[in-house]
Amino acid sequence: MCRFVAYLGEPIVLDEMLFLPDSSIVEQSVHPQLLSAMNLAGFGVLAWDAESADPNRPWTYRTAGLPFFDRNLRALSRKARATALIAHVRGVVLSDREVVDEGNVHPFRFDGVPTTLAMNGDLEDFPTMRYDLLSHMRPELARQIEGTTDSEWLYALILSQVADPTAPADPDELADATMRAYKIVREVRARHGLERQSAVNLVLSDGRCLVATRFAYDYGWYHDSWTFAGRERANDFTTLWFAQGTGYARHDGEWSVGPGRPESSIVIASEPLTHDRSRWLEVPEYAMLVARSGPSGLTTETLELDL
Amino acid sequence: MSATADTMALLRTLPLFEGLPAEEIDNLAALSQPFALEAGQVLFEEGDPAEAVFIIASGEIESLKRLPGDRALSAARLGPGTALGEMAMIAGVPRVATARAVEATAGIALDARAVQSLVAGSHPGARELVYRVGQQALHLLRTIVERLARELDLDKRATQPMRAIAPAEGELAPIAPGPDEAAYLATILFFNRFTPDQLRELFGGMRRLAAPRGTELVAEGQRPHALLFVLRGAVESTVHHGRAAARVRLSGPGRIVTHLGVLDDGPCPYDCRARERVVLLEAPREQLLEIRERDDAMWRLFRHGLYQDMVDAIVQADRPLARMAAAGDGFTDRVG
Repeated sequence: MCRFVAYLGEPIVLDEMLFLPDSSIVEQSVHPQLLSAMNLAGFGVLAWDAESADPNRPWTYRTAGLPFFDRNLRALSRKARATALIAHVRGVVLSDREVVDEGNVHPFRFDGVPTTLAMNGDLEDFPTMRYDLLSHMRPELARQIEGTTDSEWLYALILSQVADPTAPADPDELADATMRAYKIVREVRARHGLERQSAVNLVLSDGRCLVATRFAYDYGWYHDSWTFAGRERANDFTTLWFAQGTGYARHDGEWSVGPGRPESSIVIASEPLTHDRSRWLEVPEYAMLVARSGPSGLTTETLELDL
Repeated sequence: MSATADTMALLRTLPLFEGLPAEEIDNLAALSQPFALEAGQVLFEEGDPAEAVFIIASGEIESLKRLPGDRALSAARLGPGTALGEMAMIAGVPRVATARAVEATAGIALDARAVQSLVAGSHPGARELVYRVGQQALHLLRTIVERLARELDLDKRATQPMRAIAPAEGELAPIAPGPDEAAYLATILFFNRFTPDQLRELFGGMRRLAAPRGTELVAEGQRPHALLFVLRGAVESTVHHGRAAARVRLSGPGRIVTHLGVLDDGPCPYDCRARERVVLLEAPREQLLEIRERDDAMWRLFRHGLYQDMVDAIVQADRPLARMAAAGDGFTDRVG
């Protein structure tokens, strides 16, 4: 079912988010706290460093392998800095129909497009609805789809609702585009009689803003089959958490944002990066969290997704 | 203080234990241990396993919800005669807040598992105690909802603007249970604790109701006559203050919608609306009383599920307050 983490704020060393917290994103590939399945189908990270050469271009690391055995990733993460990042571990159903390769590893980023996406969700019977989405997509974006995931198609669909996908992202426009894309998906589901719960938690970023959603179609109408999506009960509405404050460091032994105003940093994650969840807050269900960094610090806004 | 005569004397003075038979208080006293804290000392942390219920004899304890950025939301201040951590006794879930002594504080700790054992045996006093603690939890839920309603303000940036879901044209209507219902119930929260025979006996005679997305199920201020269990879909409970609104709880399959209003006999402090198309099971108050009268293992399973769901409702109702406090909207406390 996947897990992701996104960060925007003061510079951090990647290790502090990918490996060091006691429930880091890499740890969540095998021991997620709020999910019964493991996430063993690949790891990816995109990271922006405002001080680097070509700061609008993130550096990228993707592997279909397991991140906890990856010495190169660990070595890089101890050195690389970031002022924004999205990291993702992919989980899939244990089936030979699933394609586990680098082309399906999140986050996705098309050539010439500054906005990137990672997703934690699962659209019911995606093959049935896939080609209905094509008529809502720009051909030049649809052509860039390389993998087989619903997430990459949704990425192309959202970008297709933006006036100029090659321009730096405007968070408000990105939020509107996401809502329009979700409405298109709802219409296509209705056309095909798809009525089972489908979570669509995702995060978009261009390194200067984050737009994240906690959303599900037909929540409470579980899949009949006892699949990974149909197995969750206590956390049946796919989770999304956040913490915002100043900086990001170890406080009293726990990795978290620090105190003080104005706030400068935000972490958004499928689930807390620490076993102690008391320094984290849940994003409300059916909501979108929009965060942007500016000269006066970080500003955030929560929007209702009533689609 | 020794866990004998002094403890019994203390227990007798507390409203929670008022009217319980002397031998029951004797039993409970035998299960207790004294505790003492200096000012500032932490009794338990949020997330800790809940193993005991604490009863304050002297001093004061503050209940805090920790927030990002070393901030905290002060949930309550509790003085002599009150019980703390009572969720341990009724639901066995981890601590939902941190408890810290405001001043030098002393009291007694009751082992939650031992109390549960008394409840399972023929100890009406222990059962009455659990009932009272349940009522205390209901009161806490109502207090949180009322506080949330007071604090809501559109000018506060953490108040989530909520648009009303488009009203539905349909309405709540009875439906027949599907042929696969028993197998389905065995897979969802609350119902998965019962055997197929128990499910039939407890819920077989109750009505199933269906409603389209957007249907109002209970209006704010109404006194509902039945607990509504969500079987499929989801119900949203929303509290309003002027034009501002906040979701108190989203109840998916296996969750209960109308604790407040049915179990505490007061007006429902929020409105309940089908957020998704929904199938509900209706448990009228009279039938609940009949189940309670049985006072057998099935009732205990039922009650435990009810209390677990109530604690989940309390945790969910706390979330909007926590978000507002974290945003520094007027009532944030610093962790000392």
